[in-house]
Amino acid sequence: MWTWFHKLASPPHCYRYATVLHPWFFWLSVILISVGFFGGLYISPSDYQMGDAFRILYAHAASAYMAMSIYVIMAISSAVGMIWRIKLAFAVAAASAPVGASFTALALASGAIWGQPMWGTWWVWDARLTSTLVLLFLYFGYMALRASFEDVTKADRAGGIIAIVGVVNVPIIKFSVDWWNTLHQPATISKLDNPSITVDMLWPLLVVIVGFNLYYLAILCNRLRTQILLRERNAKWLLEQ
Amino acid sequence: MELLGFDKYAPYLLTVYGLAIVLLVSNAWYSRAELKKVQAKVLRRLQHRSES
Repeated sequence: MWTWFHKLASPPHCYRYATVLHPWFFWLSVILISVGFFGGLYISPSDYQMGDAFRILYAHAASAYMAMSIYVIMAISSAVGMIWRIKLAFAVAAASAPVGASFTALALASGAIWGQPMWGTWWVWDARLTSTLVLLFLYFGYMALRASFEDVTKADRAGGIIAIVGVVNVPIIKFSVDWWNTLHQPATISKLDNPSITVDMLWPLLVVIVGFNLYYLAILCNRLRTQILLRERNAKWLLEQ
Repeated sequence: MELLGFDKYAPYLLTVYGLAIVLLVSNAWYSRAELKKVQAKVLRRLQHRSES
């Protein structure tokens, strides 16, 4: 097991694995996201209070979940890169940031579009919404800081500090609905043993979440290969790929 | 306004799902385009160096 992990940390092996795994992750994610979206839009029953507007949940909650998960992955891989000096770990963090920022933007936009008919406003400076906006700024800050350095090693370390320090925002987002009085509803699915929604409404969401995770892995494979190419641009093994 | 079998919230629903699909497709397309561009540049440079 450890040998496999050590192998994975070597750029040629990682590049090869990413090339092989990308189409599997991508096409599986296309199938699962399609099934989940179709299930959410047409199979799951309508909500008795919100009507069909509740179906926004399947894009909104899944993207919010991904926004937080990807930031945690960035923080962990940055920490691994700093502690064990594994360059590939920094590459994972750098490759994750754009897709994480996209999911955060989608969570905020879908939340605003849902908020307009339900709350009567596109935006409130509510704890959940504000902390999610801070997460988007952390993603932008991470990418901007990395882009400001020409030296990759300096970019990795500076970006790594933002990723690690910023991860404190993730539990704030998660528990903001419990710690403060907010317009946003409390947790619905994170308590899987006793979810607040019926199974008929829950399954498409779980399918979309699995699909989004596979989609993230597919994009990560492509972006990781780009990062490896940029970092190993003088390595002769690239000619053998 | 009712659309595609949804109730009056259809415009909100379709906007969200349209946005989600645009974001997913553009991310996938851009990551692939960037990879192809960098791949071509790096391999061309390496081949040029190995020939000279």
